[in-house]
Amino acid sequence: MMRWSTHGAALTTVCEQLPPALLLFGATQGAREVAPRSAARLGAAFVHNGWIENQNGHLTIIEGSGETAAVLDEIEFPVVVTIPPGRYALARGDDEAEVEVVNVAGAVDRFERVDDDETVPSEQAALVLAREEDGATQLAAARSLATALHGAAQARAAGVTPVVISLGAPVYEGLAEVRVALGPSASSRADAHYAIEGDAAELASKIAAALAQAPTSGGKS
Amino acid sequence: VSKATPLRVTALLSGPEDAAALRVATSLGPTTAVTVGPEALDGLLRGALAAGATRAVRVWDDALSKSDYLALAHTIAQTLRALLGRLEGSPTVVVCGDRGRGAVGPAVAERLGAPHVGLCIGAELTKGGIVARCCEGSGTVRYAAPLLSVLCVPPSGTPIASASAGEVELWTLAQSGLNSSELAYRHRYQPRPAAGPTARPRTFTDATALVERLRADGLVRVTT
Repeated sequence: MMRWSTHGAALTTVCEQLPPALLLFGATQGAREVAPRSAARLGAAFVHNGWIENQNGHLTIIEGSGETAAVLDEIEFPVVVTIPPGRYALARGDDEAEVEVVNVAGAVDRFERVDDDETVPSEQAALVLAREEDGATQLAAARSLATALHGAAQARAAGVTPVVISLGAPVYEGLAEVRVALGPSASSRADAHYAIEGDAAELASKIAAALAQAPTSGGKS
Repeated sequence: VSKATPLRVTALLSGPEDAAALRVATSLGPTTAVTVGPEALDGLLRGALAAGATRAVRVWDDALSKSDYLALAHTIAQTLRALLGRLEGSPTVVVCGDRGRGAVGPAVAERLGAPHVGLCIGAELTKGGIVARCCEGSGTVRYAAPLLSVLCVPPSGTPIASASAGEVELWTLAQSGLNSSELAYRHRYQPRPAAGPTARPRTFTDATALVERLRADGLVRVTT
């Protein structure tokens, strides 16, 4: 996980060498620690859970979404923005892209990692919901899916919306769960972050099978 | 930490949901509760006194109503210096609630030149400094730092109950060694309320593509 103690010196060095007008972070738990400190160090404005939109050739920064959104017309750059998961398509890097390694001179004042303390379990438990009526095969697939996604499966009573997988998401800040809607149900998609089309009864096992395969992207994103 | 240089603990509060920050602070030692805001926050500070804080300070000036997170952080840092004297190298812990944008705590640390750590759920003093217990992944990790340090504590448990008894000190910017013109350059950008983009799920037709995206977004545990 990104911490100021591990990433602060590098970010500071890079920002000194290449002063950014716009510095974007995924809205992860780590970014919650690092992004505002970076903003403070840059003297930048800070936008939480933002959108960056190109409207008529003009870069517009929006905080929040839907009816609670606010357009930040008067914001001055530099700006540090955190972006929630799933909001934009993944960028695709260039195979020929040049990577420059920057030496980090000195270290920030920091907390040093002492040890893992497993005596206190995380309060954020992952959860995959499946219908009891889905049967053992479906629940087994859901459990496999949940394990791969940091959590556990839990059967729910029949009659509830069956097609939402809820994932405890220690990765993303401010989200108790990341929701993946399975199948065509519009109601379950209303507040989902990801959705997949198809027969809900088959999707959990297909996803579990895909999770069992090695990553294919090779880290290029 | 000794009798000659007693530990100074400050809890930065902005709402009743910062009860966990107050609990962490008071578990370390006598705690001064500090907030930046209007008179309406006096009940919160009195509640903090009832919950174990030994001193309560509210800083306010109308200029702060137009200030951004960095001006608030600058104000808090200057107030702490005025309250506590020299901070650098002294046994001081600042504990702040970590809610909403979560920008003020890290910015205070930056203004103090102090290390900070987030997702802190507990802390204990050691001979050389402080050890913070922090959520990380599916468990917790301990981090150590010398004092002066800033701990950012996410909300949990019962909120601070507002109280009507207890002395709250009202500080002006001048008492914090500031004037309003110093904060003018950090005016909060004025948002224009407007219906923004509506968040919609990123939709896939293929399970492999979905899983690749979940992996790219860091949601799939890496197994070896």
